[in-house]
Amino acid sequence: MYQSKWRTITNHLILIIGSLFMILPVWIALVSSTHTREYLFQHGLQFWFGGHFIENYGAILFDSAATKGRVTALEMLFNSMVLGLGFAIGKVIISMMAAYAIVYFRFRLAVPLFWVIFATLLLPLEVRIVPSYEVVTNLGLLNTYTGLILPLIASATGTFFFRQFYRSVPDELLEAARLDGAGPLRFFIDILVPLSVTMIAAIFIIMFVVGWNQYLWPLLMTTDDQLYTIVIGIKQVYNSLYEGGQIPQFPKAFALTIMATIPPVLVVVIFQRMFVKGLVETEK
Amino acid sequence: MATVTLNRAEKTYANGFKALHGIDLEIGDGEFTVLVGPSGCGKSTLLRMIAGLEGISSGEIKIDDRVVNNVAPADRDIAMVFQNYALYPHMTNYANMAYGLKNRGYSKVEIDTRVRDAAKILQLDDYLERKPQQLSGGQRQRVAMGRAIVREPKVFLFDEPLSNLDAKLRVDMRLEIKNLQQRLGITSVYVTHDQVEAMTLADRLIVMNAGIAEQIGTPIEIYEKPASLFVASFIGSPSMNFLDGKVADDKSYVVLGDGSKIDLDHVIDAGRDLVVGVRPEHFTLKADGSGALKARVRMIESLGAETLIYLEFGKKNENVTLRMQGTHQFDKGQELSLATSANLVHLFDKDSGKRL
Amino acid sequence: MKRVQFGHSPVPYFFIAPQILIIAIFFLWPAAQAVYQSFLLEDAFGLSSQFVWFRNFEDVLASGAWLQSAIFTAVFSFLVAFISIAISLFLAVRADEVIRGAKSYKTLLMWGYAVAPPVAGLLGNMLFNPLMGDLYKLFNSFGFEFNHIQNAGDAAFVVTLIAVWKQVSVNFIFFLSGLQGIPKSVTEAATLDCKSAERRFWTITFPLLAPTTFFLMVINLTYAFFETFGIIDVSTKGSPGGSTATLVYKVYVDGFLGADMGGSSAQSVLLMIMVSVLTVFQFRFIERKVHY
Repeated sequence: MYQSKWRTITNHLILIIGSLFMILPVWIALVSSTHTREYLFQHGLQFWFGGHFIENYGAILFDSAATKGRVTALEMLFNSMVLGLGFAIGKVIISMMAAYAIVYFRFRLAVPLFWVIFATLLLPLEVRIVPSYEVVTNLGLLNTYTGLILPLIASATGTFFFRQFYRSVPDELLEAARLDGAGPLRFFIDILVPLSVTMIAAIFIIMFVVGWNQYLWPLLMTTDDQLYTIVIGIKQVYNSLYEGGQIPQFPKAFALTIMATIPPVLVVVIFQRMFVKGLVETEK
Repeated sequence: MATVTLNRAEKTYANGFKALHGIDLEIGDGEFTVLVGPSGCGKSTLLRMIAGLEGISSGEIKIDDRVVNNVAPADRDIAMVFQNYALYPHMTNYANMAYGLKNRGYSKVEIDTRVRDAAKILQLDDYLERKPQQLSGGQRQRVAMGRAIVREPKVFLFDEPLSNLDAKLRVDMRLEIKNLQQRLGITSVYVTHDQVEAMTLADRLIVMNAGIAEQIGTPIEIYEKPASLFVASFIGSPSMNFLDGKVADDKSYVVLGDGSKIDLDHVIDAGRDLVVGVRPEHFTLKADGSGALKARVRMIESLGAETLIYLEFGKKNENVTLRMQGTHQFDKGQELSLATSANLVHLFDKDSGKRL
Repeated sequence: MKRVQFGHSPVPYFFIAPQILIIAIFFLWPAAQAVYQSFLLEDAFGLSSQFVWFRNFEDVLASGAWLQSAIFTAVFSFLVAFISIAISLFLAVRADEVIRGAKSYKTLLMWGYAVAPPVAGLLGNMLFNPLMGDLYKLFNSFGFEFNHIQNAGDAAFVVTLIAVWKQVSVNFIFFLSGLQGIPKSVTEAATLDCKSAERRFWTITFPLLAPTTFFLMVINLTYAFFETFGIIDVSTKGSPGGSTATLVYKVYVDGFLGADMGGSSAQSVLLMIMVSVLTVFQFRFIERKVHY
């Protein structure tokens, strides 16, 4: 469509500046993580690579002393992966099932249970962290993967997402299935689930990122270093940055942030279309 | 005074697709010109280029002797009616019509006068304060036309405005548009794929195919003397009959597939392969069997005022359509004898499709 | 609801059970606990507790700290929402118009969603670090005497900037989607009716994006309320003097670090009420206005 030359030029300029605004902080972190801390201390944050990439990353990945704890970044990455995947898988399965029950069945508790689920939207975890912590402790789930993942699943977002999707599936499909002799289980497994594949993928991606990036909850209930996720590792490094009167461990801190950021960013960028679709549908 | 001229206008898209191959066109002041052709022929592209919504790759577009290649659409003094109305959903119909004038700095009084005058012509007086969603398709299209009329532009552009309306409404609106244009006398360019619309609305018709203007002329000219196979097949419904033939050695007639002979009334090389075109209404039924063609009845459509008979002809079972006034009955498989006269026959070169 | 449904089957109970179970254990129970504890006053050792009705609430509401935090949260939220929406709308409109490189720009602008709040907090903190932060040096070179460690306003600025940065991506995605929902022919008609691109934006595009904008306002406010915990904890930690502590952060500080169960529970309950209002508002208002 028509566009004056001037408009096109300003458009590109603005978009470039916007992109730089988003990218620069991470770029600086990435680049600075490849220098020694002395260099950073003397010359400030850098804009181009130094030569210590392998040294710095190797140190935090494999040597736990570098992160001031008993755990390496590699182990933390593993924990993050468990959290991300576990959360996403758990969320998808549970929400799909709950949404199926709500949409496709007439049963006595349907309406009150629906509102119970809805109520979880009203109170995000941040508002009930202290008692949640107590509950988890009482159940003996402190410092376990289960305790880390389960409480996070107790929210309605996934359920509403699938509910909306199921409502858009034509009624005729169910009617035809019934004529073909399919009961509720068959219908779900043979017809509904295959239909939902793209939706499942979309929400899986979002939930993976959400799970990976969890901060408050893991912070509270993992006191055992072995269970630290990489996002928590950042907090630990941050706390100990200025310890001991030495030059702060900036490069290692940056390296950790880069490693914490790369996986979710990669997922979002590679699966961009699905991610956007899931995001736009979830929030409605 | 508003003429539109195109000199060797071409359009190539970024992906390399060439939509228009050098179009030359002169539209006179007050003329209603229709661009007609199948999907993808480039007619909409051409219209949008005149509007400025698409850039021109090479060549020139002039509105009133002013080259507008690089002029912004809003500055070309044109108004456009879109296929799906393109009304602003958040504004009232009044505001929709007034918007263009408001942006150009017309006074409130002037705007009000123009909008109300247009509303009167289009019978929209009662709908001005409503929003587009509250109107029917036909009413919305009238609002869209009102938006164009109040601008009093040099040129009106119509992009298949009736395609989204149901059949009966289309016929009514067609007449309205024709009347309107004659009354206002504004130069108009109209795009459609419907050849009936094209024939009834156009002062001049441009038949387009694959980015080329195959023929430019009045509707009757094009109907009676189509310049190519494509034009001949596109204009006229039911479509013209096409039969393969070869010029006889003595050049006085053409031999068809089964040996039938059609007389020629002008000179063509002997032995030449060509396509013979005859319109369904230009065949006459010879009850005495003396017609040049013999064909077998396949199917009959009785429309009341006329009857369409679909026949098969020759060894290759070429399709022939016969159009007769009134109602007639024939048996399936019955053989009919058809005649035509040389001056009603169209001849086309077999390879190029050009008229001979 | 669907026209066609299964009736008389045990299946739904089994299917909905896992979610309900998890909600019961990890949501209803803690929520009830929070409410219950907000009415209790524990002694210093946590050994005994006393039912004190609304005293905790009175104490909290009367305390200057809570009020300060509430004001900060309110101002912070609105600023973050407003600025982030403005920036992303601006970018989305341009991104929708460019042809060459459109895909690249979109990718470059939408990945921010994947960044964890504490990561954003750390990055911001580094950039403003007195020892080597570029932004710190930049601001001071303009003669601002920037000091976010001691100056409350500067600290608030830093936290707001980080929160805005993180939120631009999400808003960008939604605005882009909204823009693509406007029929192309309407935009073209506007091009014919109005020469100025600015004017076209304010009279046609922006009104048609109103539903998206409303929706994002609510999303952003919710984000600023809750999801900024990570940002604050890894940058200013609420300093100086609690001036950059949002209400959520304060609950954490008082309850976890300060072991004031009664007080933090009361704060939690107050937050619950606020969020409920916001969510109900979102559902009512947005559902109504979403489509023409």
